[in-house]
Amino acid sequence: MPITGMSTLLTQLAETNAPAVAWLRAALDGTGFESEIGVRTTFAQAARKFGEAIVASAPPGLTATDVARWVILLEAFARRPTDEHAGLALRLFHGGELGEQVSMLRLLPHLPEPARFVDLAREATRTNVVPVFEALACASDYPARWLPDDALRQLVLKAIFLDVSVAQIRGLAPRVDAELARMLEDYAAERRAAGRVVPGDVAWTLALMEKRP
Amino acid sequence: MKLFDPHIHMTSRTTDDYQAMAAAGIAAIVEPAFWLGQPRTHVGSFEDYFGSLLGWERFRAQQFGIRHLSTIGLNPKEANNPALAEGVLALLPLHLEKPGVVAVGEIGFDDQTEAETRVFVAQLELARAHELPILVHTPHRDKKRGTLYTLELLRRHNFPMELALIDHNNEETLPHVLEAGAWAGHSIYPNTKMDEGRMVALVQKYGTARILVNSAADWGVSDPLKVPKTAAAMAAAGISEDAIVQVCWNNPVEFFAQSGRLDLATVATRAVVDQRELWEGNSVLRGQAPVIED
Repeated sequence: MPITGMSTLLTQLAETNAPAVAWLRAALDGTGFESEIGVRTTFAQAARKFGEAIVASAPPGLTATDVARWVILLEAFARRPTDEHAGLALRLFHGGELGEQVSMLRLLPHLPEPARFVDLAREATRTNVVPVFEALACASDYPARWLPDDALRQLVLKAIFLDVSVAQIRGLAPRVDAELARMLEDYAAERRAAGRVVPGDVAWTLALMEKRP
Repeated sequence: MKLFDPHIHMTSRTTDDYQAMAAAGIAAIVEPAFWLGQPRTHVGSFEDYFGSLLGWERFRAQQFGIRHLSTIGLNPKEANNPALAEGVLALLPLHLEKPGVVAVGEIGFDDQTEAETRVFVAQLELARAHELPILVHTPHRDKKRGTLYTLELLRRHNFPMELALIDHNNEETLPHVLEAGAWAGHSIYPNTKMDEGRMVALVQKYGTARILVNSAADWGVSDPLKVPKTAAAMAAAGISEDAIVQVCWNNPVEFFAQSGRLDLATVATRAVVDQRELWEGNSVLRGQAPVIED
């Protein structure tokens, strides 16, 4: 979304939380925001100022805090050469607590040239923290659109391990492939050999494969 | 019966655990370096972590009568951060030479990426250069393929199978590991990995040669008493005491003794507790009367 779209969002945010938007505008104009630590601090502070309210006019699932962080990211990107954007996003993700990591992952599909952030997304496919995992796997179609095959397969297996419903991974069906089916069948065999229940999502995901033309 | 837990992450556990472990007969442990639940982002974090495994944690175990040994290495999850991985690999030669290090580990595969392969192979070479065995983590996701790939890499790089302990085995992977000539670890967990009953069945089927059991207890839901509990389950199932001693003491001692850094006479005797001792001025006590043994 272009910056003009962002200012529309900010105007709408201001209708419900004018003090927070005033704080954000001041923070972005302040000298502190010129340094990376200033960007990180503003990114962190946004949660206290904006809270968890859903913003009706924003893309589905984004909270007021996410929208504020979206504005913060775009502003930080605008002040840096393009080739520094992915590194900055990765450092914000690494340095972030759970809420910041969730925001960053929810925002990935909305950032310019989303493919630049695949390394960051790959890292989230390995997390054991369910809300962080869900922010990647379930909040948008980012994984199905942008993750390479091997990372997407790992994401599906990890969802099953974390008991996150595979049905929530949007746009998965066309990307289910024979290698993922092989991995799922091996996993089912391992569970049977251990005398354990095979999670229902294994068969559900394999059925996606069979339904393909 | 003296017991050995060859894979447990004590930095994540409490002194209650140490007391319970010692009371249940655990006399020696190996603590592999691993990840901390979320990825570290600085090489310096690893330097301090390795230092704590070889320093404070070793001292803490000793205070409860348990001999503490370590394996040092870069785990597969964090191997996926290239800048970090290079820095940590550069730290390893120094830390592999420190007292109490009996293997390179835990190394292996998580996501089975190219970065993980590169770091695994680099650490095989470090193990060779430092004349150490390796402790290998096998992946949770796509486990069988990851295990077979690990064995294939060992063959391709002429790494001696008898110096490899392949861990977290299950019914599907164990026969392949034994057939390759490597040692096979089993992590007995409350819900995932392996349980006591299945472990009994594996020992009954495959015998005791090159088979180990561990708790792999860490910061998650896990149980530091799984080695004694598995020993009890084996006894209850009629497995002989000799066989239990083989699996729960002799095999880990024999495997890690290949490092040349495990003094057999020392490990055969229980660590003597003197809780008056301090580590860099710190005690494990918080006002209690120190336990002092002769």
